[in-house]
Amino acid sequence: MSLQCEATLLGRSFSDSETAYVDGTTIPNATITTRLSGLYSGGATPTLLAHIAVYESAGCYCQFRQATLFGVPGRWPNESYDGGSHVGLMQVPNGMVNAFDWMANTQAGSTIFQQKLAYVRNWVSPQRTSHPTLPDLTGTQYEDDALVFYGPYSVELQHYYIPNSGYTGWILNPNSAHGQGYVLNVRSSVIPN
Amino acid sequence: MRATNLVLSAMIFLSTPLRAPAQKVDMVEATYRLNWPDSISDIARANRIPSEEVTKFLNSLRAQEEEPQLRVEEFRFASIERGRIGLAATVDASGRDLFYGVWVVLPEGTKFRRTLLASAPPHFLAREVLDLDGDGVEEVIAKEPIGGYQGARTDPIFWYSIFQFRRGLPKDVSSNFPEFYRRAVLPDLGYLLQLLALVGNTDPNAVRFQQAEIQFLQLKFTRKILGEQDAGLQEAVAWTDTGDTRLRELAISAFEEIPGPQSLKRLQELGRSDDPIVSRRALNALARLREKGR
Repeated sequence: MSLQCEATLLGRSFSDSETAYVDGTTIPNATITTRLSGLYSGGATPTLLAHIAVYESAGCYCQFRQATLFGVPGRWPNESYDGGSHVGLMQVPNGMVNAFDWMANTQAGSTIFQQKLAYVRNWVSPQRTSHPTLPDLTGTQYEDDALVFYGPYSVELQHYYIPNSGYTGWILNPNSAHGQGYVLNVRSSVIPN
Repeated sequence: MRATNLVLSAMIFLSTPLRAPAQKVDMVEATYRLNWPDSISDIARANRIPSEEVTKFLNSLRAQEEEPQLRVEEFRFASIERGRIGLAATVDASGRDLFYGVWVVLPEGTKFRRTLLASAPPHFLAREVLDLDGDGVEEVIAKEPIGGYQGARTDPIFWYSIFQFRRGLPKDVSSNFPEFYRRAVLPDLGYLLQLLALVGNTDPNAVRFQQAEIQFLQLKFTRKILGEQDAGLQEAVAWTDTGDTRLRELAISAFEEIPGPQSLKRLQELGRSDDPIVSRRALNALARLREKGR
């Protein structure tokens, strides 16, 4: 943030400018966990968003991390490796709000994850209508599939589970190794106290 | 805990991919028409088609109704196969604009053959779809991080694979282009290693994995491009013995590429690891080797 002041007194012009940098602060782990669990309180795995945040934010469970930017050491937004296209706890697209407002960042990640859950429900539902013998996925299984589509390997368009040949149950999709690996990595992430 | 790991390992063993996970090819119909270029001289016009139209077209290429919406970051028409003009586009389906793949679409009769090449950002298609050998047909270059996607800490240390398309299908021709690696990939690694060494002087553990990734890349060049099949075996054994999950994952990737009983034995041992991430990777690698008859 730059401030520039100009004044004219008795025909003489004066000007001065000052640049200040706004960085972040440490957010207690427990505060982050409470927030993320609250955003997904009705879920099969209430801490799932917290697991996503641990993995996506590189294990540091942080919106900001210590770094030097513009020559200024401080707690700067936790940016992705590629020049900062993604940011913060949930590694959502970068921008002033997602970078500096951790509540907005977690809300954005939660909204995307909920969209993925809705997408999976819309994928499962017509199949169960067409094949009444096909059971519903469990809550955890819905989460697994939604996680695949939250992650980078969603682009492979491969679900975590697919119906078996008789449409009497679900099996692991043999073509979803990347996505299943992402799910395992997220679920294995340890939420810090 | 141990029982849980065994169950996870068994489940994941069953999820073995039937084909290389880095590629997916299928034949689909389009419900949205795109004004496809009919000649090389028409490519410049087609490359100015609004991105929204290309997005609509790609979203209309569906094998099933319920596929997620794709977002397009960049696209480029090019002579991807002799006598055929294809479309390459960087796409995302996560809703987070991660753009972790390049779709290559080639018309085939009334249908389209679409190929997904796993390829990590940042992208710039002018440097990913280009005629490396000067034969008038573009190659497609895909890149994947050596250590895989790891959220914000994904290391920008990439292995590059070069593909040519024949009859609509991709073929990995990386070993035909050793100069690409010698001039465009390997030189940067020396500088990166020097920087890492500076950090490593005060905190060796902080850079150990990144140094291993670079070593892996150099050894993969020796293995895959220069044809020295055993290159990296000793290093992979050393990574296995560290007990570090990420280093052991690197070791698994190396063992999968190095033929012979020693690699196989190591993979089998890692498949029995208590670490579910390690055992999953090892069992998947073993299953892929079985499919190849090794």
